[in-house]
Amino acid sequence: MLKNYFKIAWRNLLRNKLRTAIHILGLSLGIAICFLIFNIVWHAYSFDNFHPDKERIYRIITENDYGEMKYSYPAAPGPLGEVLGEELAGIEEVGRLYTLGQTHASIPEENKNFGRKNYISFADPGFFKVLPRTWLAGNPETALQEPNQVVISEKSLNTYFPNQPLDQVLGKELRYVDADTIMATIVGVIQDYDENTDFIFQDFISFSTIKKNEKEDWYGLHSWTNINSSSQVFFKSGNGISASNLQEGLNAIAGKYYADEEEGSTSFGLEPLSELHFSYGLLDETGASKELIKGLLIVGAIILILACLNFINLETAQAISRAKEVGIRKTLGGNKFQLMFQFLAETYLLVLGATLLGLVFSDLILKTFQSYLPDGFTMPYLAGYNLIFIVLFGVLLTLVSGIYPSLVLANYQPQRALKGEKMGSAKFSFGAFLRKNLTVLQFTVSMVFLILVMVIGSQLKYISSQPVGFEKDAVVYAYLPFMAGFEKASLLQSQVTQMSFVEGASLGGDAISSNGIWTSDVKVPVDSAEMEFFTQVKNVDSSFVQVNGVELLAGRNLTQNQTEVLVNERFLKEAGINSAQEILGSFITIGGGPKSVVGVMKDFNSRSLKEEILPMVFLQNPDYYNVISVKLGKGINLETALLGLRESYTSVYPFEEIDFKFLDEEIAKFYEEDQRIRNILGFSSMIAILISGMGLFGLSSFTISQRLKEISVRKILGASIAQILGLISKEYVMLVSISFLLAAYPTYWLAKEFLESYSYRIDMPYLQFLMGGLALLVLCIGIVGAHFWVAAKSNPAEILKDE
Amino acid sequence: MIQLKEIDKYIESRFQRIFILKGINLTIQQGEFLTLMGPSGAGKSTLLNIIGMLDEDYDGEYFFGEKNIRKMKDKERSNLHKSEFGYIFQAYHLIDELTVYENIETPLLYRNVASSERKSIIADLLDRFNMVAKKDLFPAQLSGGQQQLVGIARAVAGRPSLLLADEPTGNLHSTQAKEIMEVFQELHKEGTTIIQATHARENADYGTRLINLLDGKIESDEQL
Repeated sequence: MLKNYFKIAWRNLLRNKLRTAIHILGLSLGIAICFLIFNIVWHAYSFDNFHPDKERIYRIITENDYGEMKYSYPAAPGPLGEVLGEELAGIEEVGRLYTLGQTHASIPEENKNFGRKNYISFADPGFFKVLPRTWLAGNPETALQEPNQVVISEKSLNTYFPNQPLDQVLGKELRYVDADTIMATIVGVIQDYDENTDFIFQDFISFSTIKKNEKEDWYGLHSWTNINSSSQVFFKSGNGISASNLQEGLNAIAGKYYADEEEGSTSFGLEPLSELHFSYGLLDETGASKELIKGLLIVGAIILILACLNFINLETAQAISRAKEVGIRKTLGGNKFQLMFQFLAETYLLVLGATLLGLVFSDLILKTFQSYLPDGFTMPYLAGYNLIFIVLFGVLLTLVSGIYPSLVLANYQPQRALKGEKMGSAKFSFGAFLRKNLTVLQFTVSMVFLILVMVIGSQLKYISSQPVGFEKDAVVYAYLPFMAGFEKASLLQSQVTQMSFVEGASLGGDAISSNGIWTSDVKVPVDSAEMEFFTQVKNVDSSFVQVNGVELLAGRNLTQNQTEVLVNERFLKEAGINSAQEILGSFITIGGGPKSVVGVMKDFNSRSLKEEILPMVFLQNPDYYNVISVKLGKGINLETALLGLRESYTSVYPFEEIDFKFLDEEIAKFYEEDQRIRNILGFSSMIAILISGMGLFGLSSFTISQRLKEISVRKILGASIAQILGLISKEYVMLVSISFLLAAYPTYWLAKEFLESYSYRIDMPYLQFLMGGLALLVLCIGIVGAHFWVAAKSNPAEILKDE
Repeated sequence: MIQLKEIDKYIESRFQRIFILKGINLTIQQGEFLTLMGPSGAGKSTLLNIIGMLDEDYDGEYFFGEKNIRKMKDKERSNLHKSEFGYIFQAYHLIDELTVYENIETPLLYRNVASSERKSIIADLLDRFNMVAKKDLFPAQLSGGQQQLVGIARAVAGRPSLLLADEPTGNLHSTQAKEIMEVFQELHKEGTTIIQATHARENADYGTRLINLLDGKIESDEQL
């Protein structure tokens, strides 16, 4: 029986190639996207679920509540790590971790340098009790008890001591330099995790190394009020202790140590290990955002729904042409369920074909969007969970898209079906009503996507064409080693300035445009009174103006005198000063002392154009110069210039590996997220339009075959081709118009939300709404028109002969 | 075998009921070969559909043997339908996607006949209708007469006690029609009850009883 079903299904599919192709293509796109998204979600939830007792492991988070503003950090103040084990009831182990970014590692004995590395941290012995590891060498009981010890993982071992036996490595000394120099003896080697994990650290220096009084201050571990995102506390609770019990304990601790807080209140919270991947704080190389996953799920669901609607739509439309078969089968004794089963078998066969094609598509999509996905993300097609997904999803898809059409078919009454009677043609036809609505819905979704893509596209274009107030094209910059001193920085500056291809070099706390921001309180004398407000501060030097090509509106540039500052136009506005001349020479209080304002700079955007320009003060603080910005000459060879810059940099900082970045590329990164959204939406809209287009193609090809007779009769009665086309396309123009009306508001709302995230934005581009609608209308009429053209040109005598 | 009492079939139009059948009383015995005749619109097909349980939208009583069809449960009715009825159509109504063999097989599949038994039944039928060589052809590759033979083979495959034929020769030319009628006669001799609707008087001569319908009423009822 089953064999018979599949045989008929197969022949039916072969017989109607157009229908089969449309279904397989449409469904496979939906499947491809769902498969990819399933893998992304699976990947995101596969992190750190292999630790023993994982449901009992938590990270402490610290919450600041200032009434209106609430902040939450996945970090704990230093002292909490000291007292937690004793003061919180019901916990088994406490582990502390202090993350370090970009730390320099070397072996002094062999004079080997490994440059700046991530994956270095401080940890206490408890950390390995909360999250146990496999030890290849060393004693887990004693390791990391004493200061200046380090445990390294196999990966680090292979980097530091390739091909050396394990027992010889123990006892060797490593040198780490972040700001300070730390010497540490290797006391253990552990295995790296094979599974997906956010604990990507490879070197664990004993926590006691920085617990010493003189160091605690520097690492921000000294006080309850200092919350440093590097300082993390993990713990494992006892069996049967509920999260609410632990929370109560934490509340008590917070109450005890924050009793005399003046402003706001601080409390602690729990972050279960399962949430870790969606949080941050562990170098954040592997994290994922739940928002993104939610967004992807929505897009996936929409595309899948479109694909299913397409299927349902076409199948119910074509049901009429299969009515005869249903009639025969029923008179031969087939019952409703047997018939439904037969049609579902056919659907399943289609879904199967679509799945195979879909897997190919998902691979192509993966390749296209690889850079948007987390590192190390792969799709193991043959992994158990994927095979289960494919099978279950196939069955689910078959049911979702097949049930309604098969129900329609199986419900035909035999004697009517055999007579070729059109179902309920005289009465209100639910099928026709549904079909029209589904088509409208598909076009609505396509339209929303399309118009949004156009709006985002023009906003991004607008942003990149917007003058930012400085020259961004010929400027490169590089970070200097942290706290390496002004002498070396100024040596590098003078070396670089002398190069033939360099027009100027400037030192500063940051590049002219960056994500980082430094704000401070400033006091400005205005008309014998004093005004106080917040301002953005930039640490610059006297070359800043020239290198970045910023315009000075009044006064003069900075000199070497460190009490001189510049301000920007917005600063004057904020202070309520009308003329630039007024402020020149007056003293403002910022950063601990009075500074004299010597000049006023034209406003420029030091941050993304999503934000307004803030009042700014430009002061000089050579101790905190972290960045060198270099303006390159025109018409030079970039390759040689960068090579020269790099050489000069290494001659000053021999141990550093660093690269110069192009300012304009870095600025473009501000909008990377939006660019990605645009690309993903663009892709989705393409798929949505493709699916809807195919649906319409199939539907109209079917409608024509139904209306061939009508067209022929009209032709015989003297209608011209244009009249017939007009008559037929009228219906589709209506459909698209309704879609447009339905799409208009959601699109408007989404576009408004998006545009409002920018301070500098285009007006709502209503014209693009119309263009989007028009584009789909043209597409729609093109698809329908092509079909009807063929039909209208056909010879009526041929068609009517059959009747 | 079949007893119809006061069968009415009508269409409700805006101002009046249009009767297709009115007050049909009819008793059919086992083993009869009954012919329904009458002009177009007389109600032949409708009556045939009601007898064949393809149309359940009528007034009146219908007894099959002892049982009142109208009072049967769906399941019972469906079983009765499967075991007792075979249908033959003017337009053959073979399933285009299936071969001759598979077309004949279909009713057996719906009756859950075991595979080996199916094979032997079909082999017998193919043999009997001289179509062994054509068993793998599709309906479109056959002539009208051959298609109707497949239709008959399919109808009798399930060994029904009652064969219903609606204009079985309507699409065929006279030689083919003659052949088909001879097959009917043979089946009748073997004990199958046959009811056919036809326009052609000569077809009635193969049967044992002739009923003339006019405007939804039985005009005459004669034994031949």
